[in-house]
Amino acid sequence: MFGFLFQILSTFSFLVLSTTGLAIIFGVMNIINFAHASFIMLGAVATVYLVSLGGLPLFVAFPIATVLVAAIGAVLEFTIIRRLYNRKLDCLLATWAVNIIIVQLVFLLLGTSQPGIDQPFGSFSVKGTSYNFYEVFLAGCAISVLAVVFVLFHYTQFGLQVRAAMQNRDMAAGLGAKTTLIYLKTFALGAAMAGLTGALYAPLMPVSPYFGDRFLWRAFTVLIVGGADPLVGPFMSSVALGGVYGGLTWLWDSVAGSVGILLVTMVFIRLLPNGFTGLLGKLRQSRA
Amino acid sequence: MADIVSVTDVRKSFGGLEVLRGLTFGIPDGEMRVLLGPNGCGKSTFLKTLIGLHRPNGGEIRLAGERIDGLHPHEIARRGVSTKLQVPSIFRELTVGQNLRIAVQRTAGASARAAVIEETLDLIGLTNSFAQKAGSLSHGHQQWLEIGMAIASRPRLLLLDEPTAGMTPDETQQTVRLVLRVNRERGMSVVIVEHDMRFVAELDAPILVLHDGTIFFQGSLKEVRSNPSIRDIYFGSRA
Amino acid sequence: MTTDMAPKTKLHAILGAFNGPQTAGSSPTYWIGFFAAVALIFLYPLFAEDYAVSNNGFLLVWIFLGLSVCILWGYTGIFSFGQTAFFGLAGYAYGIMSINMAPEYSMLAAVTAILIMMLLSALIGYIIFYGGVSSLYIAIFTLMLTLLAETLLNRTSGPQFIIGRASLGGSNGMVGIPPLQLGAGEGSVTFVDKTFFWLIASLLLGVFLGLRVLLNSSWGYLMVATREDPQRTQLFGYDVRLIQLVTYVIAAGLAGLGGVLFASWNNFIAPSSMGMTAATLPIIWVAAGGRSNILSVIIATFALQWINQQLAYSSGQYSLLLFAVLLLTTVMIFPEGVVTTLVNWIIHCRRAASASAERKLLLGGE
Repeated sequence: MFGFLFQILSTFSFLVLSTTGLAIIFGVMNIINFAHASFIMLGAVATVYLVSLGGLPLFVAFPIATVLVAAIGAVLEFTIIRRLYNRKLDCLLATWAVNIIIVQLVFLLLGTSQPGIDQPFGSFSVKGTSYNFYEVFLAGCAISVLAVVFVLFHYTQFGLQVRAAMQNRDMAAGLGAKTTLIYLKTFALGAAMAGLTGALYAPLMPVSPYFGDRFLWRAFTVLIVGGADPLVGPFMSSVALGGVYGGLTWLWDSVAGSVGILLVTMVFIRLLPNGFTGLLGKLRQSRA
Repeated sequence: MADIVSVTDVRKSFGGLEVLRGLTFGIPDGEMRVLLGPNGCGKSTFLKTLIGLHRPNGGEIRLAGERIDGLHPHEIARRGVSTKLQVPSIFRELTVGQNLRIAVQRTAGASARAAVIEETLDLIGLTNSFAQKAGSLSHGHQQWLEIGMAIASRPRLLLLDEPTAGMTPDETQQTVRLVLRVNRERGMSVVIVEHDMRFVAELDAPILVLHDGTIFFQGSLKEVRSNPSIRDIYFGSRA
Repeated sequence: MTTDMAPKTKLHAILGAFNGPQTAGSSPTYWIGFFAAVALIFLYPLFAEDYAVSNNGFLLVWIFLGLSVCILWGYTGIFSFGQTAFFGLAGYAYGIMSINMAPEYSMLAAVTAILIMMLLSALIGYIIFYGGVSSLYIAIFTLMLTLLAETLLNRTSGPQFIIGRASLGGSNGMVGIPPLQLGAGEGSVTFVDKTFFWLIASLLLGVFLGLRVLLNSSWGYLMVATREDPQRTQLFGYDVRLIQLVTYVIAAGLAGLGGVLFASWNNFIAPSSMGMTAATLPIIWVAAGGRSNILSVIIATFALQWINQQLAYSSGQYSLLLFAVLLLTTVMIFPEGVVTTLVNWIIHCRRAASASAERKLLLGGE
């Protein structure tokens, strides 16, 4: 039982952390940032080098890596994304190209695999199976991330501007909120979250230029099932998909888990094309 | 004569906002009607509900006796309903010829197509623009192209949402002639949503005034003009 | 003059089916040039070495995948990353069947593999087009499917993943796939080297001509209408979901055909044919070629894959980077594709040159 719950919690954290950055950018700017995978990878790569070569403690490396990736994201937004706001598909292609360019550059300059680092905290055991404290820590991070996004969106000036922009882009611009600046900040925030995710998972997985790939397609499923809302989407979706994947993996294996996620996603696409966001919207409407 | 369109107590809400609040009227086959009303009264919403882009929350819409509310837009169009939308929506990146072909090919077989396209081009005065990109036409010509595309499939019911928006007075006159011709010569029932009173006057068709999501008044232009309540609606003393 | 109606002769009527606004080039000059090029291509194997012929034949395989993406994206406005999945899975399906059957049934295996892909695409297409999802979601969902297929096939290295005599092979892929063969025993033709080249060139010619007919038929008009404005198209009485679905199935067939030919030539198929890199390349070919032009997509695919191959010999690790830069440049600077932009620029220069020549004549001499 404990193992089952732990697996679900672990998957939930993974999905929330993988997706929130992507969801924020999608929800606010309505673009799919394919470079998300490379941002995650850069966060991981920065962390392992800061720790193993720079000698910095892990928890100092985390924020540095996050800020670094946020900066890279800001540069990307400023140079490329900005010109493609109204060309959604072209934006997807451009970010895809950038993703490949970043991955290939890391591959060419830093090689096929990067130094590994150990996870802190050690492990505990329940009924003979050992679990990592670090995974519990990651769950805490996932929930904190959601909380931070919630506070940011609902209690800050930035959040107000962002929500206005989401409702009606042209109007928001007319009201004096500089949408360009908002988008820049949003994109940098999304990149920061991706970088943080990479940093957090660096102690758990081997780091290579292709580190981000395994996060990407799962983030896509969470995005599809979650819908456009950057909070409700990742949260509800991660709970649902985490439950399905975690449960099926624990009962059988990860292949069953992946197939389970696929089936859930297909059902959602067919019946609830706006994901959990849409479902919530319908519930709100029927109550009104 | 049976009604081509009969609308019974149609309601439509968006979230908490009730736009259509029990719309009821009928249009006899082969006739023309004008739908008037101030902004926000639900004219465009009604039109979109009629053609299937919105699903009504209540009531019935019948086309020549058959219920069409709840059908997909293409199913409704196949039953002989053609639309010219408020914002010109022709295929801008395609040529005039491609546009017309798309409009025509469902209802005209391979041998008849050419004739229908030529005839339509002639009717809307765009015979020399066959190979021109539709988006490069003047605004008025784009409107005519869209009207042409709407009539090319020989619909039973033609719906025009502000067909003369942005047109010069001269172009408006020509549009009047076109619409009258189509209604009288081909027996097409026409419903026009309009603002331009000059256009409405030339058409000389019965008018339905929409207000607050229901039919407020039905009558001739003269009756509408002399009705003080309608003036109030338009000029604001009644909300 | 204004409308090219009423075909004057039988020949015009026949040619008329191949010409239309959805494809470029329709004059007799074009067709003469075209068939001259085709003749040269068919004569090529007689004058070249087996190795070069075999290599170039293989390069043609990718064109089917490129065309698959092209008719969906360029003509119907459906951005699907999933074509690579149909390509790879068709290769697997062909491999499993042809390994387990006698060589004379390889054609049957090929056709069945393609049909299976079309059935699969019908199911997936039904889910995405009848669910009314936005095009961005279609893009990521189809990519998700492709990567999932790769992930699942990577885990098939155990002994339980052997079907008959065919071992799925996990990340190493399936080996020992026999080449396509026609007939049995003495009179049979095995399609390798020169015969493979002629087979694939014939198939490509058939597909190209078939697409020209399709794209210029009523269906083709509906494809571009769906691309331009799906809602408006509905209002003309067309079921847009059906248009998208059928086009999707045709595209899956094309990709599947490519996959079968790939497996036949390589005698091998692996999950990497469905990975991120593999999914990226067709997008680059079509974006660079000019999305809504089948001939330029054919040229771009062949050229880019040839470059890819050449780079693999010398500085292979840079090729993907170069292609990504090409994609980025294309998106930012040449949204209509490099080939199309170049051709348009040449035509524009010619027109400007002849216009100024005309002006000189009118104003200068008298």
